[in-house]
Amino acid sequence: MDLSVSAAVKLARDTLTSNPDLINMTVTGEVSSFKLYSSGHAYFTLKDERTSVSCVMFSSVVNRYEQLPEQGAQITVRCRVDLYLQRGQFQFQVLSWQPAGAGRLYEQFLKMRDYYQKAGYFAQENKQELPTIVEKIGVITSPKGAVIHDIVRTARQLCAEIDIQLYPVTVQGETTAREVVAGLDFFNRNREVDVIIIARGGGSIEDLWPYNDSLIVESAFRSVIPIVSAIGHESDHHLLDYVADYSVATPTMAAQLCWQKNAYYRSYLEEIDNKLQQIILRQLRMEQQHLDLLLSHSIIENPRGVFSEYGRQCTEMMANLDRNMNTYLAGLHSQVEHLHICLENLNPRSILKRGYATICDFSGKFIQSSREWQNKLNGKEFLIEWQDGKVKLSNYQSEIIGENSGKV
Amino acid sequence: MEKFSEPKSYKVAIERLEEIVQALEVGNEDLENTYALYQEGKFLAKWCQNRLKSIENQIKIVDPAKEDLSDFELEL
Repeated sequence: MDLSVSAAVKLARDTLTSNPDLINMTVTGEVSSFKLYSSGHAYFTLKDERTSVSCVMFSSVVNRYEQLPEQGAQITVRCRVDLYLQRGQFQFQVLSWQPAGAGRLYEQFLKMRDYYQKAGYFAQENKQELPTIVEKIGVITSPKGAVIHDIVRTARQLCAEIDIQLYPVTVQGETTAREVVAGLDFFNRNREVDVIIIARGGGSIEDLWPYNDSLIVESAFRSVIPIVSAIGHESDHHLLDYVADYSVATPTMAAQLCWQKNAYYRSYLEEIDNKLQQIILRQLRMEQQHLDLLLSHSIIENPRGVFSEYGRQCTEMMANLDRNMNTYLAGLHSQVEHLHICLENLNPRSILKRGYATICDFSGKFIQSSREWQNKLNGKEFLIEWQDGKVKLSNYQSEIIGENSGKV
Repeated sequence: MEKFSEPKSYKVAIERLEEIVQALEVGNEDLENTYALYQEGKFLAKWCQNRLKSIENQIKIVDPAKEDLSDFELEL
């Protein structure tokens, strides 16, 4: 038979659909790449460990359900084999579906997560801090596609200078785990980068499955360079997320996390210059003010003024001293004069000037009373002295007449 | 003029710098100390800035087989 393509495909389809076992099957497998189109139809893959097959759920079936199968879920479907004529594509046409328990891959993930958690791979004390600034960053991802673009663009928004070493890997498939480990090994051996970013974009549970590989977990755990993990669209969703030092949802966030301190410190250091200057100027100004205040004191401004004041005081005091001394001396002087006069007045000789006379015996002793005359003289010679001379009396007669009580 | 020693790491340098700024802002130091701190602060700031400035602007891609680096152009 020489058939056209269309005829050949149609023949195959008819053969398939004529088999009653193939038009009413119950199949259990894992869902992946589930996508609901605007047409209302849903397309997905149903798989087990060895095989995956395309499935279609037409809108009439889709609309019957409130919930649709989830990525990674194990489901049981009633379906019929179909061959999409236009493309010759083998597919299952799903007539109904129901969950068949947790997806097998997801179960596996949970088991591994438990194992590594108990073994301490995720412990906080094993996590490393990011360096204060990053100088060189290693990125393990595909050299094509949005991830590296996002990282570079975000980094450039934060910093003018970015230094990246890109270790290219395929981000899904059988070789991914080994390639990522080789990248980790490369960076850890060379010790040139400060941080390693391992990133890949969103995808199904199988697409991202390599990032649950034990090789990656072990290697990441041993890394002496801090690791930032950005796998899929969520953080903490894969074993690498758990064992990494930091886990973020997107490559953009990974770049922000790594380069933001550089941006911060760049502007901080620019300000610091100004700040330091201001502080020191302020202190200098304060010291200057203090100094000015001291200098403006009158003693500094006009030292002579102080002395002239003292001089003036001295002069005044000396004048006072002079004045007082003169007064004092004058006082003494008049006192002396006064005493002099008194003395003079008491001088027996001045009594003579007043016309009185003194009587004394020949030895010169004064006779001062009639009794003395009687007792001492008793007729002897005596002298009478007037202001102009003396007279000697001898051979005389005398008798006491009258007595005074002493009062004259 | 005393020379300041190389900081052990960026982290040490920046922490000391923040310490100095703090001390100066409080302003309890006398003039001589203030000036000494100011000089140390300027030295550290300059050192940190140089570290940042010394970052090269480059993206290199590793050849996994030969483990050497070459310039990488982002595909648009």
